[in-house]
Amino acid sequence: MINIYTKKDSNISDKIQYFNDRLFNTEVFGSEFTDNEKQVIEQIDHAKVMDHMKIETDFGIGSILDLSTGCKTAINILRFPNRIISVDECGSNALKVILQFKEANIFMGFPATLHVPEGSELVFDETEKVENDLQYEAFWSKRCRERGDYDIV
Amino acid sequence: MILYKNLSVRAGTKLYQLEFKNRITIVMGDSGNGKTYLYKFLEEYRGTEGYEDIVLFNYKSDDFHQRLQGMRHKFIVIDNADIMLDDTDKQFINFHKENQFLLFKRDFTNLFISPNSLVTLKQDGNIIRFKEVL
Repeated sequence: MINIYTKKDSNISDKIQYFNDRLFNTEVFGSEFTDNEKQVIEQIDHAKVMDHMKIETDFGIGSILDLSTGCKTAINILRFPNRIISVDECGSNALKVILQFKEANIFMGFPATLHVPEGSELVFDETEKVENDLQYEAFWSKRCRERGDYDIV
Repeated sequence: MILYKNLSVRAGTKLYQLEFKNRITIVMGDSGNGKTYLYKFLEEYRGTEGYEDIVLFNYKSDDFHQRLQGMRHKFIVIDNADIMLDDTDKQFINFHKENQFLLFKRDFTNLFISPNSLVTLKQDGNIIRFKEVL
């Protein structure tokens, strides 16, 4: 189940993890990656993990630190499942992978463009279950109106 | 004011050839398409001949909000902009038209932009250019 938080309520605002580059660079970098994590890195950044320090991409051989912010965010979610990780810096390709995780707690500050994967179980703000694109758009239309933001089209 | 209409940035085997049609350019798109890589190489070019007016900010920048407010006649690049910019920063971006902005960002709420402000990076061989989203 993917728990998606969209409100910075007092009970969660202090728990939201922003700055995913920093979290990854300080607490993940240097450790070995699991096969699942290597697959995630391949899916999002099209990067082949050569060892725990190096990757190979279309840009050449580089450091694990050169992974994209979206990719680092996905790995952070796997490594720290009890934290609420902000996905506001993730592209739709990274979100597509994240929403297929078995479980995650994420914060989404604005309506990101995505397709809800078939069979996924998304729960918004611990109350609203979303299982398809229509329900996803309906949820965000309502949320944006509550906040006085633009409506999503 | 558009200070830089074109920028070329060599990044290893890649060449970014960027054309700016607006004072505010927002680079969106998939993760891993070369945004932060571009930022890293702009850091190398900063201050060199032809790139003197480029200023860069990311999550590592100290006193970001305060320093931003002091910028005049600069080409300002902001990575991690979704988590960096608050409403005061957005007001500054909107109303200080003597500056040009390149923002790596996905949410453009409360920013005064035109349709051709929104771009992604598109690679054609070893050349990377902007492609308008809308």
